[in-house]
Amino acid sequence: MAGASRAGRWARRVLAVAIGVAFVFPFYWTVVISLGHPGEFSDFPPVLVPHWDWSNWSRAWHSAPWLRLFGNTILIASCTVVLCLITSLLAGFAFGVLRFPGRKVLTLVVLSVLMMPGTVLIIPDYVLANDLHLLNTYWIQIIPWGASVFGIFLVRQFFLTMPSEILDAAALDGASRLRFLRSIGVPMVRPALVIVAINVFLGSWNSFLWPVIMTNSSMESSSTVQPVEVGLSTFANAEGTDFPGLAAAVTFTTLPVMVFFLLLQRQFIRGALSAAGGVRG
Amino acid sequence: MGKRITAAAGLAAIALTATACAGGGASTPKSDNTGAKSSGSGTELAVPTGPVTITFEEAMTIGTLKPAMDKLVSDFQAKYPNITVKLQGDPDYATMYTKEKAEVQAGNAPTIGQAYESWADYFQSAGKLVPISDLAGTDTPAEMSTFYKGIQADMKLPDGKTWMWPFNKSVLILFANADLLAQAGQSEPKTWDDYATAMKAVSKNGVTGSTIDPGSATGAAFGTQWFEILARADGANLYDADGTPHLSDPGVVKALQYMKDLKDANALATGKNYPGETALGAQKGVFDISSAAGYGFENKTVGGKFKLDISALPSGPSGAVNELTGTNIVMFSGASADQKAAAWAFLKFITTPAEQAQWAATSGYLPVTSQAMTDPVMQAFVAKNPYETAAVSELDTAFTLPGFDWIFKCQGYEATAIQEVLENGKQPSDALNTAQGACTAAKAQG
Repeated sequence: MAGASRAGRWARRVLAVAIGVAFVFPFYWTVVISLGHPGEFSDFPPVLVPHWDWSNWSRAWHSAPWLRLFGNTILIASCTVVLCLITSLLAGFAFGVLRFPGRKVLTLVVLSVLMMPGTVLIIPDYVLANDLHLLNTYWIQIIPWGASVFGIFLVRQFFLTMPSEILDAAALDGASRLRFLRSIGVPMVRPALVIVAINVFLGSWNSFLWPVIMTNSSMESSSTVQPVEVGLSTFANAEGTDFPGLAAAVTFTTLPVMVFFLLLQRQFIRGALSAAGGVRG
Repeated sequence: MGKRITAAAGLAAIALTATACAGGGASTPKSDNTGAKSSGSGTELAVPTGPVTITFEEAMTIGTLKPAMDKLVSDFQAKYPNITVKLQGDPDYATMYTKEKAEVQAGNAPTIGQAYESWADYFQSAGKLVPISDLAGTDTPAEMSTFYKGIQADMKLPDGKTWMWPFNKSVLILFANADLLAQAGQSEPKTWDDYATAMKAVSKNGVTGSTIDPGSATGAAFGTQWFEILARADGANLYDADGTPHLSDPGVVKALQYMKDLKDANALATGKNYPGETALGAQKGVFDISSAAGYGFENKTVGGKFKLDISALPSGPSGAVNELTGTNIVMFSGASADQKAAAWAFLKFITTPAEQAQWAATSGYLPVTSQAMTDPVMQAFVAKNPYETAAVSELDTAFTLPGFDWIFKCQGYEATAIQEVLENGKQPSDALNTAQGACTAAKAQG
């Protein structure tokens, strides 16, 4: 019996290591390619040990103002998350809790946007941004994404599960709706807000087509407002892809985020768990 | 307080709805015929003397292309210090087309931009382009006569007028692993029959003759162009001059059957993202049909692991046939008079023999004028890259598909047919019948 239990434990460990390796290997191989000699990236079987050739890193580093792009990405992603949390919370509260004429119709209109592919709207959106003089600014990369239909829907669903008696009780105690939202609503929908924040942050971090279309800044410019993703795209075009250069750029733009997560992973997990605790509570 | 928060939340919801639904206008640019006169005034625009800034939407943002582009601009600005050329780099052509359409729609178009023939047709139909005759005073400026014949033909749209100026032009060439080819007792193929024989002979021990990207419904790739070349080399006509498709004609079906036979013999595979180049570099493929401008990338991928043989494409019963690749430059009608004059000076400058030699030797694209071939820079490049002579010689005869907006869609249907045959085992005639029907419908829609 004990032997079977030990075997099960080992099986779980082996499985965990295998899954871990499967997740880590692509990044490791990217690092190996970035430090490899010319032509090595296409070798089969693949080269698995880096040759510490830093020429790809040097070429990649000088191809764009990476620190500026990195700062831009953090600024854009952070502002978008904050704005999105505010709008998701307010709109989710309005659609989920408040009663006002046209609520259902407005909810449906907002949700219908989920069914519209973004690429269809990009040209009209560009025209609108041009009319509002928002092209080539941080604003155009933040404001339009400051309202997430997914976020509104998710927060609304959380509010819908809340018994109406809680709102009535708060009202009897003299709490205004703003006070109710702040003191009772936010703690209750915190898990939804965490999910929205992660989702929006990742979406903003990986955003490519929108900033490319809406901004024109040259990669040499120290005043560029473009994000990292646009910088990474300069390693590929119609004639081919500079895979080692791209691997180097991906490595040094991803590494800080990974280190940041590794250093703060305990806080992240604790935060997510406490958010989940809010649901049960 | 309660009412206020209700009103605020309601307003937020309305604002969000408006934000989420932003846009909604049509994406077809409104017709505007300003500057779209079809005949020349007889007078060429003079280079402006005051300060002028022109913008250039381009995709030369990577590898050897970027320094080549920067050199063109710096040379021009050294000659005309009063003119500033501001580059607006895009990462790929699909993005560039979307961006140019958006800019034109918003009245915010660059002065000049790269454009495929079908894009030019789209913009010209909406009256958003300036014809060359408005700049040069004639539809056939003197510089044009020095360009290769294929290039000259490519500057015109189906209306017969010159709307484009040549830029990054190339043709397809054949890259091969000379070592593996020799090991299999094969030599450089001269005809497509030789090529099939060599492909089958080298496909053993985990090596596949070649891996191609057939393209997709949203765009052609080198595999699509190879199919078009095979059909033309066998005497088939894919499209009439008015765009009428003949995709299900026996000659076209034969070209796809040729590819299917190679696939069935395990001598041809399909993939994405320059699969032929990757397989060649990994020594898992022997041939790669790619643009001459891709030489730098192929060379880096091979990394000196074996002898890279580069040659012109094999020929068919109709002789040596090749397809022109790359884009031209168009001028948008929103440009001011000074910008038009400055941009015209730029266009002429970049096609001077000396600049073409420099451009070709650095970027890998082919010079559009034969006069560049006698330039010392070009001669030194040719000495190191003998394939260049054969590639350049095809610029006189290389074909392009008729420059209609919807031809892009038809190439997508061709790509889908190739995929269906090579990846899903469909019969070439069935797949091409479907493509023919879809393309005919696209033509009818205009």
